[in-house]
Amino acid sequence: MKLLILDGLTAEQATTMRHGVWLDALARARGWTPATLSLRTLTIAPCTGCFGCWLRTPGICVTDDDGRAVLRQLVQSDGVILLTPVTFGGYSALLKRALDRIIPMISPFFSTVNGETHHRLRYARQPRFGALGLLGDDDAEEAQTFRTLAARNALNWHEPRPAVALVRADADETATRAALQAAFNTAGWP
Amino acid sequence: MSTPGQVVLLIGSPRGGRSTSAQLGDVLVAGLKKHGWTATTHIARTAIANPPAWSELERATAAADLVIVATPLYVDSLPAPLIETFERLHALRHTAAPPKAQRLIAVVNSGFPEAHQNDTALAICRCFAHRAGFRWDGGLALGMGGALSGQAITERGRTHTVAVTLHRAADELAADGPLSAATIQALARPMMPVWLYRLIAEVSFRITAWRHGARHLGAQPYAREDD
Ligand SMILES: Cc1cc2nc3c(=O)[nH]c(=O)nc-3n(C[C@H](O)[C@H](O)[C@H](O)COP(=O)(O)O)c2cc1C
Repeated sequence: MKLLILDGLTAEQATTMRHGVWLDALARARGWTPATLSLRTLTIAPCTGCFGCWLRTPGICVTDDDGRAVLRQLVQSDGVILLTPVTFGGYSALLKRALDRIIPMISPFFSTVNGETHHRLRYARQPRFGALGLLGDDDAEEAQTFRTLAARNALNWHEPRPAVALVRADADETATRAALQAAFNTAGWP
Repeated sequence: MSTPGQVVLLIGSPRGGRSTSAQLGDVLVAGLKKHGWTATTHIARTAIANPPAWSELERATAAADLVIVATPLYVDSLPAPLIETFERLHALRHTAAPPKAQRLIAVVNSGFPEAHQNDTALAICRCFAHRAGFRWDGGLALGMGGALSGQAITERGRTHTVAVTLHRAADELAADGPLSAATIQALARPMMPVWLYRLIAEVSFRITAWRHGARHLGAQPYAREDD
């Protein structure tokens, strides 16, 4: 079981926030084979909104950079965890640059999920979806927005039980592990 | 009637001036100009990649009475260049507080027909406003954004309600008010039945792909060998 960790921390954040290392260790202990992509080390241009990945070269982004490798590795994983500082209740720009480039993973055609319009999936097997958000302080509005965002992403991902954990950026290893264990257990992940 | 102010239109769409976001923002700005407001327009993707464009955005934002964020919904959230713009503006304003009271609104349009799918992106804009010291004056959500792509927003035909509602929104903003619940609800009203929008979108996808010579829209280029 391959778990892809998409690390959206900047180099500066990564010096103090060790949560990715703890996540890796916990996933390994639970039987996953984790791999981390530190997005700060990759070259990923922003999505241009051209829809070429649906209508020109289906399934492949027309921009040839590391964004393609991220998508390939994601599609070939069994699960993904987005690791990000909670940024105005959402994902960091660094993480989002990679996420905007993964829409070739889905089909342009529509389906209905929970009475709403979503897209059909492109691949038969979709990696399980999860997120670990690191909160800068105790802002309740941002925490709630992050949880809602992850839940909305899960709907588009056709993921019924996402593994979502939220901890303070200054949380220690014990607190982070406890939050992750709870998230994995609730989602029914190994 | 309050005194006319300066508005900054910040476009989150990487499609820039050709985007539905720009069209929606332009109608709001035109409405404010009728009240004597002055305006500058900035594209997030250009600003983060180009230092002179960034300086202009920074200067204009510091002087603005109102910032209008006009953006598409990207993966239930905002496009990455707009998030980066927010991160940078927040960092600046964190160290130097703005010299006057400033307001911010957002208009988010989605490819999906249901306007409420934009609510999380609007919540992110609201969180940014709070963190960066703007008064949040409300968020407008519009579904079926694809129906407006490349289409002028006028008071005739299918875009009638959108045009009228955006003008009303501009009047409310010019009067120093937040956006009213009635205005927000009016913009969220579907432009056509959901089934019709989906049908038109899927047919136009097929036509565009055919023109590009793409024949197999369900291709799985990265499929695992064991699939
Ligand atoms: C990378 C990417 C992600 C998108 N994600 C969503 C989404 O989560 N929900 C949705 O309804 N539309 C989504 N869309 C569709 C756009 O929101 C839609 O096409 C919009 O009308 C574009 O507006 P613009 O012309 O202002 O860029 C996405 C488009 C792109 C390119």
